Amino acid sequence: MVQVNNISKSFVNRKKKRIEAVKNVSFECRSGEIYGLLGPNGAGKTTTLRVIATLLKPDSGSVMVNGLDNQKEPDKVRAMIGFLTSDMKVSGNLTGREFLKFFGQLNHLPDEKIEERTKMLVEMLEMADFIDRSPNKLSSGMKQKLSIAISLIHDPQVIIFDEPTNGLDIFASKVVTDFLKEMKRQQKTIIISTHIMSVAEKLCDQLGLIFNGQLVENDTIENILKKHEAAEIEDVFFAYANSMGVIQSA
Amino acid sequence: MLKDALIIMTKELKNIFRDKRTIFATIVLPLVLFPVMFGIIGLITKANEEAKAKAEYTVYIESTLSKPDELTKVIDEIHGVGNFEIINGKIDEEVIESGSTTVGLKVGKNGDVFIATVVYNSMKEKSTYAAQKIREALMNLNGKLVSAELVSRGINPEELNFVQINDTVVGVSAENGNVEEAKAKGQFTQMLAMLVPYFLLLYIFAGSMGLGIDTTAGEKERGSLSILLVNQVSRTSIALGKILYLMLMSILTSVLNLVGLIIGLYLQMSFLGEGNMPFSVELDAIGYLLLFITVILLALISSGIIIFVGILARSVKEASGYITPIYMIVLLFGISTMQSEGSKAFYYYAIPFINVIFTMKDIFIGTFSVANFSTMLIVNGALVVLFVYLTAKIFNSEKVLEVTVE
Ligand SMILES: Nc1ncnc2c1ncn2[C@@H]1O[C@H](COP(=O)(O)OP(=O)(O)OP(=O)(O)O)[C@@H](O)[C@H]1O
Ligand SMILES: [Mg+2]
Repeated sequence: MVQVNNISKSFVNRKKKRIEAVKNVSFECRSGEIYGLLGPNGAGKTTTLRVIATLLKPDSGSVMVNGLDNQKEPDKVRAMIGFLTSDMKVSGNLTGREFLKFFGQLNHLPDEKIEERTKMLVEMLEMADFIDRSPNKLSSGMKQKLSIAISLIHDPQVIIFDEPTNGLDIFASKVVTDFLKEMKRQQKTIIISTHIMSVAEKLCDQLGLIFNGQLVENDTIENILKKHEAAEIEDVFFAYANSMGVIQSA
Repeated sequence: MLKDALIIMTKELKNIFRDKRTIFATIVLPLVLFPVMFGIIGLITKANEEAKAKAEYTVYIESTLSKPDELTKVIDEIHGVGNFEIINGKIDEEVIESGSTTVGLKVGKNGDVFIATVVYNSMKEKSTYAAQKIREALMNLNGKLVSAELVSRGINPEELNFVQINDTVVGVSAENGNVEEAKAKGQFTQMLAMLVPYFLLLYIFAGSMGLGIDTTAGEKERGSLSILLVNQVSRTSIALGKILYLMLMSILTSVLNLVGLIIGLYLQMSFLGEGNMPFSVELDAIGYLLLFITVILLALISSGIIIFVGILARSVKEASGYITPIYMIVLLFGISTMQSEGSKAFYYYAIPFINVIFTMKDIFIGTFSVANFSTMLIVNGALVVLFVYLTAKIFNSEKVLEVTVE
């Protein structure tokens, strides 16, 4: 389970201007659940996920991952998390299989376990055709699948994916969303971000709508639709975008 | 921690040796480039010398000598030193200036002394060479005349030495106490003590700059560094792994460069007929071990600096901008200490890079001291630990995520 408690994070940009990327965000994701952060560009999705994954320290607030404070025990928390953002890209001359082995070794998995995980991930993510090629020779969709596999080689309990279907065609998207559903069935705790409504609607149990760093909704899709008397999440999204004046900047 | 560092190091090495261009640039090129370069220089120089020796020259002789046999003596000596066609007559300076293999000789006599003036064009290589040969011929004539004069006064020229000098060379061993061999060996060691530390410094730093920036700022730009950072592997291990990788690569490239350089110089010398330089160093096993430790420390320090700066920078461009001035300073250290010998004041061994140079000189020349070596060891070791620590610290800070690609 992941508990995000009232986290805020601001940056000082090159022009010394303070940007409040995330403001007092709180939510919770239990195991066997998929939580979706939905928001326009620059809303603070990636920043929130990075704070959870210990890559950024929040200015205030805390994050508990399976009962551990991620600032007090970052190494232990990292061991439990599989984290992937769109700006993380595998590159180099090793093959996909060798990359999986390398990250397996760094996670101190025995060789048999690495092989077993590799076999399973290659099968589930349909990577058999290209797993023995190096990432420099892969399409961006193939790279994304490989990145997903790498982030999950140690079979983490918590999965945090930033726009996992970004840049994928509908076939690859389906492979990834099916994969996440299977992970959910295996009682993983899953947090994803997206700006694609259909992905959010199909996949997520809980949804957090985020605008300008603020979490404006945090509930099941059903409840959100009911509250706004809307038929689709898109309508709710545009209503917030209008009222918060972010539509042009998105 | 070390185990993870070794895993990272191994992966980096594997990655780099998959790249054919890198293999070519780091292994093949230094071994081929220097020998070919110096070989060609040697061959060209040799061919040039031979061409000059073989060429036919014209010497215009303007003589005011009264006895014909005196002029004959001069001409005989000139024939003895090269391929000269002799034209008697007044010297026209314009002819000498315009011709490439022409030279003039004005010769007369003042009492018993020959007065000679060599006329040549100093801008032309062959004219200069011919003038040199004419001088040689005249000196030969001088020698013969001196001997003849001495003999006529009843003195044997051979007995004219009143001081005889013999050398005993210490510090260098030679077979059967062969002095010439020992001298040559000593000179060779002097040369090594001067050049090897300098070139090692140069290659270890320069050879690993590109790779070091690529594995830090380059990985930041490509977005592959953060994949490593979200894993549970400790940041100290990442820093150490990358530094170890770079250390191995820098030692490899510098040793290969050095080997290539020495082969090249050897090739050049042998083309020029100076191939009988002794190729031996007066080092025992302990000497080699100390040298090895020193080189490793040098490689560790420069790798530590490069990795640290590369991680600090937000782009490859920025990293290169930081590293270049550091490289200049290191280079300056190398050049300024090249001529000086070992066994300097104690505090020299507390200055990084300089201490490595002096330690290497000490090892070669035999002025090694345990105290100085230990200072070097402690100072450099502490610096390496510091750089690993600082690098890990940046890995832990949010700074490491800042990337600007221009
Ligand atoms: N390292 C940083 N330094 C300065 N500003 C940053 C940094 N990272 C993010 N920001 C700013 O914080 C805000 C939120 O960025 P974030 O990447 O979290 O948005 P996002 O919701 O992931 O957007 P997108 O859909 O475009 O990925 C943006 O205004 C961004 O410019
Ligand atoms: Mg984002």
